[in-house]
Amino acid sequence: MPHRITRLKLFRFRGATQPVTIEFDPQKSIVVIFGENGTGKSTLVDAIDAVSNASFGSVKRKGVDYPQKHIASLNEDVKTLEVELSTKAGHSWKATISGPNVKVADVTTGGQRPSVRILRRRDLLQLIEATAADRYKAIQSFVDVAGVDKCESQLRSDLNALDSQFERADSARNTAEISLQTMWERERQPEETQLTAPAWAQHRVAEDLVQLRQQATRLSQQQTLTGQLATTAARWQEAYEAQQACAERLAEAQRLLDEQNNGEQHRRNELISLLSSAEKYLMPPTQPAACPLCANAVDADELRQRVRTQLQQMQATASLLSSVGTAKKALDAATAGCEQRGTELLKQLRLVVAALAAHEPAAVAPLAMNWGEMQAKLREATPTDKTCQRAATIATKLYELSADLAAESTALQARITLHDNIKDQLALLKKSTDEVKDIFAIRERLAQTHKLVVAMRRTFIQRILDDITEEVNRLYQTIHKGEKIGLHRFEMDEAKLASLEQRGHFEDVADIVPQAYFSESHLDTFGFCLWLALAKRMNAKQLVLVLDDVFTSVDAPHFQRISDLLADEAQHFQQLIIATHNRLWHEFYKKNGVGVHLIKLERWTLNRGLRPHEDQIMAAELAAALEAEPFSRQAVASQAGILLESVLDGLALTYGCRLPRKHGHSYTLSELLNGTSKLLKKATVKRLDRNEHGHPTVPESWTELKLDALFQELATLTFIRNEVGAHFNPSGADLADGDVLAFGQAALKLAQALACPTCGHLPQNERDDHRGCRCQKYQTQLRPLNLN
Amino acid sequence: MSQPLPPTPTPAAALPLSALTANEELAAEITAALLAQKLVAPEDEARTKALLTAGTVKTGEWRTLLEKPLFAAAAVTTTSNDTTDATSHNPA
Repeated sequence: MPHRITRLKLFRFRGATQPVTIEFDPQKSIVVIFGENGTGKSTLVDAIDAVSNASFGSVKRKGVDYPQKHIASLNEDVKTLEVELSTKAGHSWKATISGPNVKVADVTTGGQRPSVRILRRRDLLQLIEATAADRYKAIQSFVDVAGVDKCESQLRSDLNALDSQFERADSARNTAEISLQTMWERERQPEETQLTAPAWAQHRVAEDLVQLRQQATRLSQQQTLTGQLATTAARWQEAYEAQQACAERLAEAQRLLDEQNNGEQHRRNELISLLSSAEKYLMPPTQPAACPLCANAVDADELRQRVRTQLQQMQATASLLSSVGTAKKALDAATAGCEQRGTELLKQLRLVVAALAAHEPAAVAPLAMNWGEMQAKLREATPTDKTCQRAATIATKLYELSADLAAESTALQARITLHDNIKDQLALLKKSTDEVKDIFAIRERLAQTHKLVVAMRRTFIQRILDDITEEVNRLYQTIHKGEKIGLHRFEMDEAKLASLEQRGHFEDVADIVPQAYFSESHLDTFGFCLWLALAKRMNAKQLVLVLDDVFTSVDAPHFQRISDLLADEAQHFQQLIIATHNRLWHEFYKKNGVGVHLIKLERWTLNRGLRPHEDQIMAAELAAALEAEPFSRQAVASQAGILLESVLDGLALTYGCRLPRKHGHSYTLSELLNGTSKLLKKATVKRLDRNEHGHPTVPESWTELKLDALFQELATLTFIRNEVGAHFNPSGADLADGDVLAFGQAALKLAQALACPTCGHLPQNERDDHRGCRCQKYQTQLRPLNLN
Repeated sequence: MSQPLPPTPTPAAALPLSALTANEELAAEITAALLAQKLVAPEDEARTKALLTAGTVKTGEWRTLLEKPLFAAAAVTTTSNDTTDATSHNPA
């Protein structure tokens, strides 16, 4: 838990050209630092800012680009700068400058740095005169919900993505529905007309596809077998025809041979052989003159020609013989080939018939064949010409049905494909329908969540702003009592998330722009009240508030009220530090500052730097003067007189005592004493008894003091003020120190009797039958309530 | 020996409710509302709050969170149907 600031030590920090230490009374929640302009008030405030917030404070402003260069005292090295801050708990921290930053380090461990909020004049103006966006920035830390804003944004993105997904799924669903509708319109059978498209699709999908696929497979095989049968039959037919042709050629060759050769086959053969030999003998270059057989003279060329002719004739026959031989061989081969083809044909036919016997396609039914019977017959069949012819016929007939078979297969395949398509579309329809349903459900939740987050964020922020508005107005009315002026409303601009509009009310007109209607002082106090209201929203009890000369345009009566307000509000915070050049304020606290620590800054010079001094409230000053040695008659008489005037003036104002009407409201001590005599003769002060630590005694007890005796004593002594403390008066010398002392003590007694020892204020607030001081509990009570 | 200090955010858990940041406070309210409307499952309370206070939220994280109660409800319905079927087939 942070504690009050109790000490500041500055070394070469801004105006602290000499090392300076300032102590704050830890028992006092309010510190007032009074100093005329240029005495170093802002230096002290900036020192607090440096350690608490690692900030360059007032040096960081427009026009100062490198504040680190200007934060040290004039002509001093920034690296040697130090500011040390200590708290009531005994913890300390030190600020130095490291490059462009303020660096804060522990001097002692374990403590928590004070939470300090500083209000400077320019911050006040920021609150009042800024644009809506800048005003939001000024209060952002109080209403910042960036995390929720990001979630809102992400929810919107997720919703948009989901909408796209929904559209796609919905489109897929529509496409599937249309596809099914189209298929239904195109493919439905007459008996299916009563069904709707989805019902028809379900019905079709329920078909036994296995059987259909098996049927398609068989049909395909049968087509293949039929084709192969036709091919095999064609081959057999070809072989058969070739065989026939060979047989015919053989017969023809035989016939020609028979025609050519009637008779003596053997002689012919020998003659041929002889002639062949003769031909060889007669071949050139041989040119015989006589026949080798009969030795007759011959013509070699003619003989040669005659031999050749005979040979040719003989060889025609040989050729025919050869042809017959060749034809016979060809016939044998053709016969073998035909037999082989016949065997193949029969085998193929058996396959086809077996397949058809098992399952006869509708396309084949018109043949009206008993495939089973045929299958039985084919078992024992041999590949004779007749059988093969029959097989070829069957093959031809089957081949003629190929187109029908193909059509049947195509129809079957189309049915299967349709089934698959319907199934696919149904699956797609189901999937997309489920997806649409799921997306719709989740979208509803996302939309609901988004709406909730938006609404709650707006309500939350507006609630904060309304709370702030209410508090601002409460504070504002304390300062501007009875004036028809205040804050109407704060509003976030929904179009621009980080934008804060402010509207005031003036006289009876609401919703006005404050800057256009409020005076400067009203704007100042308005900004101050806003800042204070915001600070109270934080963990106020841990906060130290610092005001750096913020009120420059406020008049005396309003200053009074501001001081009263601060005295009341200080109890909500850890500590309140007020730096001011306003002497009115200083004087006010000197009069009423029992609970306030007063510090005065004397004139600053470069050589001497900051010069803080303990200041005292008037009563304390008088008490000190009464104890001082040597005894200063003039000081005592003067201070006693001023103190008395202050106290009596307050009483007269509170009770409306009768005083002579005069210009300027400045009354003499005598006039004030006379005016309050009626009151003081009957007035009593009642106060709770406290022990030496300031706590109420146990059991609780109250002491009541009549003021009449004090009044009577003072009535006889007040002349001493004029005689000794105010004017040069020879008769004053006749008065003894004891008389002056008595006067001073009487004045002090009256002041101490009336001022609450806790809050330091005179009892002024109306209660049931008395007037009370500003304390929340155990108030000092002054009776009567009113003068009759 | 002095040590440099980081910025001093105080963990929200260490502070009383009034000391929560505005975002944390709003996140708590939104989380409570989401739970009351059964938009998120009770076991996801911490995660919901974390999403609302995190600096970054990934695409689809909210969807995953909000879908969960839907699927859980569907699973319960399916289980109930299974139980009913099993019962109906039990012999008398």
